Amino acid sequence: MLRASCKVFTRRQSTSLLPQFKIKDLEFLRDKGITGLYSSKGLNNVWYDKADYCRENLNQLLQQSVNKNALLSCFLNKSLDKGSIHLSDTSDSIDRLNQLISTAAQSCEGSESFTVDHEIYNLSTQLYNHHFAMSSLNSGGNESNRVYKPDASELLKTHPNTDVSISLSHDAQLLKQIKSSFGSLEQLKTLLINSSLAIKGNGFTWLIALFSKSDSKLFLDDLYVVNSYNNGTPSDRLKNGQLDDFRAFIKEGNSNSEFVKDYHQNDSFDFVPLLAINASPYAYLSDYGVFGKRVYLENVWNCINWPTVASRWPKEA
Amino acid sequence: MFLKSVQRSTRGIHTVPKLANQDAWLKNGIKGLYSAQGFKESWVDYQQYLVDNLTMRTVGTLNETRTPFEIIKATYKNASDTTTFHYASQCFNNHLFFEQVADSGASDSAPSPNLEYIINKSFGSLEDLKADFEAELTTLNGQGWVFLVENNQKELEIVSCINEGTPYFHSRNQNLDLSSQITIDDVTQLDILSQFVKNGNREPFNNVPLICFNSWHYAYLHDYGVNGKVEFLQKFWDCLNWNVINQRLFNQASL
Repeated sequence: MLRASCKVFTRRQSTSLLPQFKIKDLEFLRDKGITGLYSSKGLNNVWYDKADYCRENLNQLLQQSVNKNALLSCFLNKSLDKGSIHLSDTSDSIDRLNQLISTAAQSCEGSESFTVDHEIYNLSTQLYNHHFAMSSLNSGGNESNRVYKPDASELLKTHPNTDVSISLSHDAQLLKQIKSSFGSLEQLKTLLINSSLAIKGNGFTWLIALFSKSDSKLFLDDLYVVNSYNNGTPSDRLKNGQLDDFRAFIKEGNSNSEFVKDYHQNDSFDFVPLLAINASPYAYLSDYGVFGKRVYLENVWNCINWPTVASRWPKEA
Repeated sequence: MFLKSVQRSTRGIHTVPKLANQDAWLKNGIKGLYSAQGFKESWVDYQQYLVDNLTMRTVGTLNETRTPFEIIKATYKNASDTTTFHYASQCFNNHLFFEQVADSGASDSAPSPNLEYIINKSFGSLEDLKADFEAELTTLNGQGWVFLVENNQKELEIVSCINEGTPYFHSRNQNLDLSSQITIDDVTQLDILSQFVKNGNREPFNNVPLICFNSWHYAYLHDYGVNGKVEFLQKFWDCLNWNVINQRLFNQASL
């Protein structure tokens, strides 16, 4: 029972190894919520309480991990004095979380503190996913949205999907690419909402761009909508080939103790996530009720911060 | 023609079963476990959501007249039936959960001598069982269920199911989370499972659930907050109606 022996402690720690995970635009909304999307309670459920919980547990577990130094180095700012931590900018903290995920994934294999590192991986992907989804939203919300709890009759309703527009200029690269990948904005919206509705447990729906790489330049393959479940990440790079490697390892009779495969090193392509939508029940239950997922997703669509989404397009492309 | 239309009118529309104390609970909540609003959301609303969706998914199909449990049996093997399985299994599990709770202090029920004996044999004591149960819940990723089951060796064990997993069939317990980093342990279990499914054996009921704990946010978000599942479990132990659990244990003497 390896799994049962790894307990997550929720006790508060006086010294903290990790920086606060703050999203600048959302910091002042704790008591207010986001107009047309979340009440204060709803926003606390989906972001503040969740992020605090992940951070506190991560702190505890980082202390216990034998790979503590490697993991913590993801948060040290090399350009500043050694030891100082800088995490105010959104894209910066997302990059650092991404780095933490890769480091945790690598230290998961064959580590003495396997269960600890595994839990670190889980918590850091949760933080990454939540951070990404929350920072994709417009903190000003949308005045014309209505936040309410529909009743069972909602299940029989259809939502007309016409006249969809987003706050990007007509010649924006992203908008052009959306039209060529999905046909139209309406089709992207339909695909995003239907993918989110298909997630029953915890999960996120992502808009990602797939690039192929050559000579440190990126060439766009296409845009995709993908779902991630529980502690999954939008890109499967960290897990690519894992199953086969483990099977080979088992077949060889566990004799090869130097079992570390470089399946993370496939550099011929690059997944770039642009947008994430939280499709988990706790993301809508307190404001929209059991029947309100569809209403919630319509409201999310109207609150997406498209300039931020567009700014995630890689510069090398 | 007439006969046919009569047959049609008897089709199964799934409805929310009425709990014995439902009216009182809607007014006052479940003492020690739920506020009135929390109870309404997790039972009345959520169960309504599940049965309505199940009806819509099954109408006009072979599953139309089946009970949720029969639908679980008919769909658990087919990947294309996943959504139907989801609603059926959630209906069943959520009912199992609400059947066994009571106002705290309302019934002075306790494990029967028979159950107590088998709990002590498998876990040491009831307190040990509770500790193991909590550890299993803590490591459960995302939404799901934790069950105390009696397996086909007549031993008790704790089984956790991610999302809509059912305790009855090993192949649909859904206790492997392959979306996270996987382990050698996971791969071994996965291969045993896929070998079993490939062989096409008719899978016997492996487990019979005795205690069912709901770890979906539908069940506790309103009263316990987003991180409240362990607190919810601790309250749950005080509100457990052991009379129901005692009945669920297979009892040879009653044959």
